[in-house]
This record gives sequence, structure tokens and C-alpha cells, in this order.
Amino acid sequence: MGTLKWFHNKMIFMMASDKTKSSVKQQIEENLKRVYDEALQEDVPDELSDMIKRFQAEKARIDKAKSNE
Amino acid sequence: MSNDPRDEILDHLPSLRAFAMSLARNKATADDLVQDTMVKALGAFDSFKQGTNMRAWLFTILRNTFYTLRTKQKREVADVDGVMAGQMAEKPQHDGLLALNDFKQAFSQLRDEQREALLLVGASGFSCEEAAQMCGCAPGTIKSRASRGRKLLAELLQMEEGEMPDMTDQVTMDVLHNRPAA
Repeated sequence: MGTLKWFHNKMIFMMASDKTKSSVKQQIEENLKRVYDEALQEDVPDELSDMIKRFQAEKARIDKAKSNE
Repeated sequence: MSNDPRDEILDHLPSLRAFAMSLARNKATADDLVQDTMVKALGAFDSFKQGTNMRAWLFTILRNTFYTLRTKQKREVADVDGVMAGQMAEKPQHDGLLALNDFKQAFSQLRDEQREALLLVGASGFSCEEAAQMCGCAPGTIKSRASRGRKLLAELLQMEEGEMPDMTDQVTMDVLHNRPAA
């Protein structure tokens, strides 16, 4: 799948960097980014649409309370 | 429909969820955190300064909600599911994937404050100053939490300076040189 591309990018990233000093820090940062991006791209239509529904309901509730003041 | 500035909150749902998952380490709590954050953000929308960083504002509400919850429970949320730890039961296809699962599991063992600091300044791209403001502490505190977190991760993953564990094995080299794995 995207494995080759990932290794390719990683290789470019390595070559562009000072690989002796910062490898551990860089590898950690890179993995953190991957974990975060993975969570970011996770496909969660049900949860998201529930959240959006609740968001709209809460907005309506606030607006109604305001107009009744 | 009118252009409601509050609707911009919805644009930040995915990043709020990603941040919530790294803090809560379990999907159900993470989703509750995002829901609570949205409701609080709507209720307090008058206090949001237009033109400032909405994502930072929302992240601040979310992490405050998380720590309030944690204080109430008087203990760290012990219910950690496979969200951050990954599915270790699945057989990894190659070393890169194995390394990522190992990484997730190690990451979930860090203290909440360390995960938060690493996530804010590393993955989600805030500056140390922004993260410090969001967490109500000094930039130096964020830096030392991140640095302690990195140190612990390196220990847990047995990483050593100058070493790239998943880059040096034969399978990886074969992939890099476009050779079929033996």
C-alpha cells in the first residue's frame, strides 16, 4: 500500500537531516505525527454526525434561551 | 442559512478528537470529551476573541475538561483501550508497522502531562509558548515535560542515539532498494 512511499519519504527525511545527533528525537517526533495524523484521518461518520447533531441542538437551545430573555 | 461564526467549531472536530484520544487513550471517553468541549464552547462563545486561534481555544477547553474529570475520579483514567495502543494481536506485515504499534503502546504509558506536551508541540504543531498558554504553565515546563516524555519513550522502545532500529534490518533495506523480500 503506502509502505514504499512511507519508506521513501522517511529516507529523504533522513538524508536531509543530521542523522547522527537527532535520530531518536526525530524518530519520536515522526511517530507522534503519524499517530496524530492517523487519529485525524480516522473515518468516523457515525460519531461525527452524532456530534454535529448535538452541536446543532445545543445551538438551537442557546438561541431559544436568549430570545426568551 | 446565515453565516454563523459558531459553526467554525465543527471544522475542528477531527483535531479535537485526535487530541482527546491521545489524552483519554480510549475512544468512548475521547468522544465524551469532544462532546463536552463542543457544548462548553457554544455556551462560552462570547468569550472567544474573534480572529484569535480557535483551535487553541478549543484544545484548552478540552484539556481543562479532561483534567477536571481526572481530578473527580481521583486517579488516572485506567480504562485504556486499543485506540492508542494499537491492535497488537494483528500480525504486523513489516517492521515499520510493528514499530508504530510498539510506539503507540509505549506512548500510552507516559504521564498525561507528558503525552499532552508531546502532542501539542510535536504532532499538532503549536509553539511551546502557545502550548504553555493552553496548559497554564511556563514554556520551560512544556519543554521539560516533552523532554522527559521523549526520554521515557526512548527507554521503553530501547532506542539509542545514532540508531534507527527499523531502518537497518535486511527487509527494510530490500524495500528501500526495491528488491523483493526473501
